[in-house]
Amino acid sequence: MKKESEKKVLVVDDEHAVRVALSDRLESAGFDVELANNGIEGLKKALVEHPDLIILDILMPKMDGIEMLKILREDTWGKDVPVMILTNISDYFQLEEALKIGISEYMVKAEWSLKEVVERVKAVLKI
Amino acid sequence: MKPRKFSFKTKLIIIVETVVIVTNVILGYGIWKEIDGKVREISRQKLMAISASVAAVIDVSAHETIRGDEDRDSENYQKIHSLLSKIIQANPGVEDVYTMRKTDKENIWTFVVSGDETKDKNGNGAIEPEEEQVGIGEEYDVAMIPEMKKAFMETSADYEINCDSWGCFLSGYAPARDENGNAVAIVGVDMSAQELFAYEKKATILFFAVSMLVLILFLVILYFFLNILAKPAKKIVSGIEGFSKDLSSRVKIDSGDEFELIGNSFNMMAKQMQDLYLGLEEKVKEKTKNLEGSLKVIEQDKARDEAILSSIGEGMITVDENKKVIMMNSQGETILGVKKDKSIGKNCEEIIEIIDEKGKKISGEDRPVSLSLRKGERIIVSKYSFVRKDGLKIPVTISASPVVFDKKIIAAVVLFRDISEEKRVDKAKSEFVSLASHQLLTPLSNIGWFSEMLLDKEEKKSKKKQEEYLQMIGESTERMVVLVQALLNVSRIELGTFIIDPRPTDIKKVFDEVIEEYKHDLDGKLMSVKKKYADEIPEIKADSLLLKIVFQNLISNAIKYSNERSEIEVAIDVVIDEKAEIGQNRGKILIKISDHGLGIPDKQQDKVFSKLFRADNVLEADTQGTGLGLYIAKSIIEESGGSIWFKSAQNKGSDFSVSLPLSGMIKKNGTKILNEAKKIKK
Repeated sequence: MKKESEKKVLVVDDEHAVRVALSDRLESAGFDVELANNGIEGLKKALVEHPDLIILDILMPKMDGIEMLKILREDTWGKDVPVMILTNISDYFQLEEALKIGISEYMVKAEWSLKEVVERVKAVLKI
Repeated sequence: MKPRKFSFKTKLIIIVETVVIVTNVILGYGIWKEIDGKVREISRQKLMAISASVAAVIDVSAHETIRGDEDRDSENYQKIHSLLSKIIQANPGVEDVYTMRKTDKENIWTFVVSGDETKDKNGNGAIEPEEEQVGIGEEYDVAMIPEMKKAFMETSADYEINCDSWGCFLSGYAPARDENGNAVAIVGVDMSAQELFAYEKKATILFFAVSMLVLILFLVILYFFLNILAKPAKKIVSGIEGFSKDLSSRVKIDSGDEFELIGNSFNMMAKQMQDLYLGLEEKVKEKTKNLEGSLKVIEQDKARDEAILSSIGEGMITVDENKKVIMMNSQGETILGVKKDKSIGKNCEEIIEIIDEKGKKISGEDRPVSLSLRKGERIIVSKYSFVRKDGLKIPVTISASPVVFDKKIIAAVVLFRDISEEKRVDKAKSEFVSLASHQLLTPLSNIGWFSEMLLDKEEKKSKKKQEEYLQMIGESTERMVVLVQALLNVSRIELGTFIIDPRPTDIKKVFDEVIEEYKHDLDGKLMSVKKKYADEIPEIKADSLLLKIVFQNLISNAIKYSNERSEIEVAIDVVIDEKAEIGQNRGKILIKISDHGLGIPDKQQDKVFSKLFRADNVLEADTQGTGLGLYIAKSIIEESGGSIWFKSAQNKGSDFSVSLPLSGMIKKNGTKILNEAKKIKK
């Protein structure tokens, strides 16, 4: 059952399993989920669909998450959209760069359960 | 050499000549005076004789009758006059003979008879007053003539010439006595002074002439003798002059006088100086030789030290307490990008800039060398980079140590090593670890999430979904196993601990086995394998397990990255080197696996054999490869003595080739066996 005021979440990740897990879980939590499997696709979808939140992986072919984030933030709409980085890389330099550009969360996948991920999403969207 | 002022000769001549002149003058004058006196005396005697003689013969009584000019014509006058005039004629030089008597007035006498006549004596046509005959009774003052005054008492004659109106005369006087013996008159005889004067003049001239002669004679003799005497002095002077050029020069003076002594002394001194000099020369030569020897040793040491310094793999500069460079080795030049000669004397801060890992410049006071100099400790820093004048940044590890001498820090030695390579390796390693951990965490997080969803009691999942999730879990697990095994292989390869155990092997058979293992995957993608084996492939010594691993990787890549229904070709061939000598490699076995799949983009072809590398086009198609397969295959083949390479074009396909020497794979001892790649089931 879709509510009109349903929040839209864009999940950008190159892993099929991750896309499946996140989309299933978020949908059952009542979100509208869009998927993309690399930075280019993600950018396209974001600028078209204007999701309320973007969940972004870093390591992706064609264009990685940081690149996409940089370009996204140049956009008038894009500069404000909340972005959650969800990755398995715990690289401080990447974190620093991402923080500089502007993110809401940086989470390492293996450290968080799906439940916690959804709670975070809700918190960011102030639900 | 010339004397500074006057030569000794000149001095001597001047002195001697002066003495001679003075002596001459004094002596000459004395002699002259003596002779003149004598001549005077003779004249005087003569005068006295004549006057006395005349006074003796004169008729005195007749004379007394003559009283005045009126008596001139008297017989007495004439007789006496004639006598007097005969005397005059008989004595050349006598000008006049005359008589005189006294008057009442003191010192005034009168003439009586004068033998002289008035005559123009000088023949000039006129009668001068002095040429007039003296008158009878003419008065005459005798006050000034002492000898005349005596005349009435005794015969006398002038010592001095007297001059009066008649001329200059030397006169003699004698008393004329009457029969009683009283002097009633005097007889005077005048001798012209002319002769005397003339004589005196002659004498004077003679005197001067002689003086001159003597002077000149003395001069010549003096000069002559001085030359002779001066010879020794000259000899000594030239001896001394010569000595300054030739230490063996000596003088030979046989004059038997003090000059000879000087000459001998000089010779003695010269010899001593010569000996001394030669002695010194010897010593200097010896010392110089010693020094040269020492210098050679020092230079050799220096050269050796420089060679040692040059051979140090690390760059080195030595600075003084003001951080000015005093030494630099060649490796230092290379790393710093400067020349030693241009750097000596410069402050090291002028030569190279230092930045930290964040790129911030390290100020002069914080540089390792400054800290070392200040604290007197060794400072080691591995986080900085040099920034050269040409802009190149080189990560370095810097070690600065103080040099202490006599309790003072006088210098610092700074060693530095270019750690670009190490940094690169470190970076690669940390990237590898990062990536590997990411590769491991990904399936793990998947397993975690799917398990979570399966266990979630709130949301009921459909059976289909449950199956899907379980499938994902299974796949992730398998993926992890494959990855871990591959990582273990990599670690064994890196540590060099894996075994290569070559035994006689049939390559074809091994390959067939691998193809069989992947049948399932081939069928799944409707792919086929075309075998192109050459007829005669000899058995070679090979480790079949390792070969399998290599083939497994190549085949699985070919399958994974090909489209459905495409074909893979496997070719095995032998290449024999006809020209090989005994002991050289006779040839190789070539294996080529060709596919028509995704190919490798040109830009990424150089990374293909790197650890964990997966090209972009492949990441998209299959996110599950380890990126380690080709690295492992390359390590195995190369470690065994073979080669592996490829040709590829994007979207056309790739040809991977392996060559193994006919002499077989190289045996390698180790402790570990590598893992076979587990086949990924779909």
